[in-house]
Amino acid sequence: MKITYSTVLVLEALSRGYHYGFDIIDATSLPSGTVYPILRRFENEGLVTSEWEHQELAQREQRPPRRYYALTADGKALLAETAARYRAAHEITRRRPRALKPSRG
Amino acid sequence: MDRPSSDPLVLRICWWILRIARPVVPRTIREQWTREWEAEVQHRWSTLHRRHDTRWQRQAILVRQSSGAIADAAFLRQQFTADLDIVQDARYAVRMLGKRPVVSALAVVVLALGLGGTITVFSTIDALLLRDLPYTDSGRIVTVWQTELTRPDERLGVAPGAFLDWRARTKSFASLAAAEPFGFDYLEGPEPISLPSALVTEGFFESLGVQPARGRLFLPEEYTEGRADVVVLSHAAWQRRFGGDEGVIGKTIRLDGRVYRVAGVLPSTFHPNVLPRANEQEIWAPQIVERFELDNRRGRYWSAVGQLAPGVTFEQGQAELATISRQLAREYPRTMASMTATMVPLRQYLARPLRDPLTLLFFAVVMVLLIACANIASLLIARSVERQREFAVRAAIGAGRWRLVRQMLVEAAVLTGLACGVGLALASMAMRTFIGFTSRLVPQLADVTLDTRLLLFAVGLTAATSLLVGIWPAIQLSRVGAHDGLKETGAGLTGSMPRRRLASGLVIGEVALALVLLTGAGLLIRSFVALSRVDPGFVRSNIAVVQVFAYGDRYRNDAQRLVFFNQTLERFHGQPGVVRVGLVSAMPFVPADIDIRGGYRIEGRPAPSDVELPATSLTVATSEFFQAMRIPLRRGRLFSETDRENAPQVAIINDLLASREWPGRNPIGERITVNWQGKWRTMEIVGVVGRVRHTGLDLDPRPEVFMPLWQLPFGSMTFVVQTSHDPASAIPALKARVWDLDPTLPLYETATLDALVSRSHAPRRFVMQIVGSLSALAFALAAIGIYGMMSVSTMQRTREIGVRLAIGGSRISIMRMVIREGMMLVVVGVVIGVAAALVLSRGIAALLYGISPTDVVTLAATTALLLAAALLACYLPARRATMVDPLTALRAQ
Repeated sequence: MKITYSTVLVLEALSRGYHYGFDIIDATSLPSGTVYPILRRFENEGLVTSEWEHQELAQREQRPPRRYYALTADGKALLAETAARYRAAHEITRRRPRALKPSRG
Repeated sequence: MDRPSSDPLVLRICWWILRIARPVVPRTIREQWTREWEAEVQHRWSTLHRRHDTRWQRQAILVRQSSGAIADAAFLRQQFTADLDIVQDARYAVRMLGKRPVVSALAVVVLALGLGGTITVFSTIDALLLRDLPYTDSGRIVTVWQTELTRPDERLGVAPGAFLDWRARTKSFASLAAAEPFGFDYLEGPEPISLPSALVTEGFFESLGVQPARGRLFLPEEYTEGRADVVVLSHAAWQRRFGGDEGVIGKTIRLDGRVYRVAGVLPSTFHPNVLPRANEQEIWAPQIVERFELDNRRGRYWSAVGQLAPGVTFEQGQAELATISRQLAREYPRTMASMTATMVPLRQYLARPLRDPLTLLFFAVVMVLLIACANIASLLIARSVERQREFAVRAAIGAGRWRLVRQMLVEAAVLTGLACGVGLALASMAMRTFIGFTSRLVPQLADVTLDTRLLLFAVGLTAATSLLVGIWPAIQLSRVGAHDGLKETGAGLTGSMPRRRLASGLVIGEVALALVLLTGAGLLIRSFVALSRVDPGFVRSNIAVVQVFAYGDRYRNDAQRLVFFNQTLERFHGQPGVVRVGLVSAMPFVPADIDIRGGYRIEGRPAPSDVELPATSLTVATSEFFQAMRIPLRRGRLFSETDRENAPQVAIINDLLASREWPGRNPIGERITVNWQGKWRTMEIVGVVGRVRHTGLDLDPRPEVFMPLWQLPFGSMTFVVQTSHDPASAIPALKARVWDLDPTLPLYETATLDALVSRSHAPRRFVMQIVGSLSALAFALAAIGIYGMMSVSTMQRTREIGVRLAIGGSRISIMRMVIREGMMLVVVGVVIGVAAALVLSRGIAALLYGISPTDVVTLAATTALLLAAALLACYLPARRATMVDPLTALRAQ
């Protein structure tokens, strides 16, 4: 699976306790049209599992139950690996900010 | 997913977005998907609601987040499709085709030819017979013709008097109008020309339901003397004469020396099909009915078109016209006694020149397509033989039979799909040529293009084709179980029975179809040859033709006309290379055929009543006309110098009239009285000449009486110039000589006689060429098909042949065996083909000339040709079979 910056953000959001689609969207500030396909792919790859929210909880708020996503062990492993990678990248940028400054436009 | 309409607008927008995206989601997860998205939206909304957060930015964010559902749905669909078996099948099929690029390319090309041809011909059939005409309410438009009671199929023009009577009495028509072909002299171009034009009565455009593209049509008061100085331009005239000027309305144009105002421009799609040369009319002017025309019920030079009133059926309209005709016959027995009126729906009238050729061409292309299908099917069958083990393995590890059958069908679909793409490209190229031909006969067809309708037809045709191609190998495959397939890896002695039966059936079908097509082409070619050999009654080489109409201010009387003709003759004779110059009023094969007919009686015989007088064509000519055309003089003499104005009136008749009136006797010296444009002229017959054909080689000559120009100075004449060298090169000089004398005289036709005759059978040649090349293609495909089947079948029998050779079979006997088996199929195909050809060729009888549709010679020749090719196609694999080394063969596989 291709790891992009967006996928890392979604993994990160999941690991920090955002479990519902729209919450992840808010947390990552990614467009919903990006977040959902990433979740679908994660699920296909066995990186996340999904289940439905408890009925009572939803009923209390008079709304249908939401879908709940959670990282699997594989997902957590991937996050650890990619996070390390991106952290390394951060360190590089910190050391040589000028060289890697993105060009404008 | 129905939500209460009481929901606030923002929520309704969100539901609406979800409803759009929902159908895109694969069905298996659609329910789940909907629940998930609805829950998110609802949750977000309740949260906002609970916090009393009504900021519009929040709501906009909610809408934006919901819109991600569309991207999500698209993603799921794409993921789903990628996993779909059918897509995998297609990918696999493409790989399989790629493995044998040459064979695959050939198969695609063959199918593409069949598909492209069918699409091309269908485009025209669709436009001509199936689609609405570009007129409003075109189903109610009819053309109306005068016909003789005894010959209802021979449509004549309409006499002005008859038309006006109809219009006064009929109640069946919402509008009934007429047009008269006309020529306006136009001198403002580079050469003086006569613009093809038409004079129309009130309601003509309305009958055809046409609206002007610019300006207006004629006002009712413009159909009166003194107000009629207005014209409507055709689209072409607007472009050609005014350069497409946007401000053309109200401008003037000088025609026939008078000034006309432009009232309107017609749309480019308008073709007044009821008129001859319907794509050429440039100028439309109001018809002013002259006093003498009110009672003219004999000269039928108008064309009538009408639109039936609402609620009136075609039959009712026809019945009413017949009733009116009977009344007119009683009131005007001299002119109307034997006449009636016949209606023809506009569409039927339009389709008439093309119906038969189109039907034939469609049959031909479909046959080629079928043969191509058979070829590709046997190719796929042969290939499936090679892949039997693959299929057997797949079956053994659990692939269902349907899965394997589908694999074959998908391969066929990929093949035909590719072919369809190529075929459409071919069709769009071929259509240009094809339409160039068809639009000359039916101008509307110039607008035919590859549009959505045709693309849909192409898609449907492709689907049918791929089914037809794929079904055979699929059937065959479905009969072979996994067990058989694995067992048969060493190839049985003769290959599996069902497959061979299928392959044999396909070969038989191909041979039969190819024979039918070859026979059709053979008949057309022989018709064409027969037609080219028809003696027109004259020699067509080295003749240039210049047609003039000497009327108007400069040619008011006979003397002025004679002076002009004499001076022109003199100048023509002064041209280098000019051998002889004749003049004639009714020049054979000139499109504007001037056929003046009149009743005649023979002196000394009891005269029948005027109504029953026999009629003949009346032609004005000079002696040099007969000499230049090399029309033989059978008896007597041609006109002489002494046959002048005040000398006794003389005539020459053709041998058709002579044998009709004086069978076996000499008509020289007899006296004949003819009705020449209402006046009776009695003349002495001084000569008999051979008969000539006038408008087509396939049309019979007509009885003709020739009168000398010098006794009867007529204005519509054609100069017939015999040259010693290429007549085409003489034409520019001839035109210049006429304009030396009269720079304002338009020339109507300037061409070589050879070109005019060729032009007359161009449609026939076109159909023959297409059917000829299609049948050549069919022939080649059938031969390839036979060859392919024989190659595969002998290859599979390599071991059997090896065994036969090893136990002492001679190579000759083996060759004989292989050839016999192939030719058995071919003979069965030929028998079916001959039977089919005998039945089907009757359908093209109307397109044949001088040959019976069941012509034995043609049939024998095509059969022999096909058999010879088949023999060769069987011989080559047979010879290869005998080359087998028994040892290798036995060891093989």
